[in-house]
Amino acid sequence: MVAADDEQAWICRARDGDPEAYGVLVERYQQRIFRLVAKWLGPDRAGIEDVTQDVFVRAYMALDTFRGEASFSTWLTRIALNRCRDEHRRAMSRRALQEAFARESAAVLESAAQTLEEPPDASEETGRLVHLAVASLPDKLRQVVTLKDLEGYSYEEVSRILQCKVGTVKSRHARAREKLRCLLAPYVPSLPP
Amino acid sequence: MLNLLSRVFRSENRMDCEAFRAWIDQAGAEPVEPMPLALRQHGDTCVACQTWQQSEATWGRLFAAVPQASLAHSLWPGVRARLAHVAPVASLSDELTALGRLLVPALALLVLCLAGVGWWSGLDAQTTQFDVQETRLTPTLLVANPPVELAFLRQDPDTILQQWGGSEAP
Repeated sequence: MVAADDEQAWICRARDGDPEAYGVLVERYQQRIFRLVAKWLGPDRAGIEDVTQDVFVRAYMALDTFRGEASFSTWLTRIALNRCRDEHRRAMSRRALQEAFARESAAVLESAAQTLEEPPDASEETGRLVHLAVASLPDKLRQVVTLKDLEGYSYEEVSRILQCKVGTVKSRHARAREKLRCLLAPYVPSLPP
Repeated sequence: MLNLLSRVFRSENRMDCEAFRAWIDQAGAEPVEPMPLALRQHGDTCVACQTWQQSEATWGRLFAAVPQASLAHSLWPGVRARLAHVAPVASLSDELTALGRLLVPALALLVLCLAGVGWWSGLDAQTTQFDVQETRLTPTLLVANPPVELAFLRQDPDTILQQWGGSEAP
């Protein structure tokens, strides 16, 4: 594990062309970036590892542009989000995602009707449904929900990653929640009004 | 007065709500430090914040149901293999430095060339001036002491004919 104080030293060494120093940074952040990529692309999607590796390769190539104004983690997350967005645009359009959401939600309703004893918001189908609902949001809203609700970042951290004001993040978050509520309310009865 | 007091109270209460929610937002799911007493008291008494907390907990359960993926092995060998095929892209400052390494000697050479050309032009100008002076002197000398040919050229044709054939008519 790399202490926060040592991180800058590893970055400097990596920048000077020592790939093993960069390896230490990869080991430190790979789990977090992998999880973020998986949440963006969907856990079933092939190529999550490939995209995550590509994030680290891109970060290495752009290491000279890292000025240390934000933390390395924030900078890396920003690169990962951009890479995910590119990958996602290439793979699936928003319309395709909305269609997938419609198909999946029908399956959830059917499943809920068959197994009435299981609360719908705890089931695996609901989880998939929530993921699809988040994926069908516009990119700006989706980024905020992914970072804030799925990854647990605070508003301030999200604002640093997305390089916008905290107020903007809060407003996008509220809009995203409202859209999610509209999408999920028919399938998740316990959702607050 | 009562109206003003109630507005102040409402404003303070809103501040407490904001502080309470901001603290929870910053602390995340597993806070390291305990919540300050004032905020805890606010959370115990404020109905709006309690409703907000319940709503957040429901959303939290929903988002927790989203399937998680975890990495089984290190990505570093794969990343290292990819890095072997790509060279780090130089930044703008690096490119400027590299350009500077070429530009400085080139500029120095250019300055030397220009200085050399200037010096040579100066010499050449001086030489040309001497040449001009010499060429300007020649006609003066010629006029002062004209040779036979020049005197011949300066005469009019009738005079020349007279010199050749004499003054007598043929």
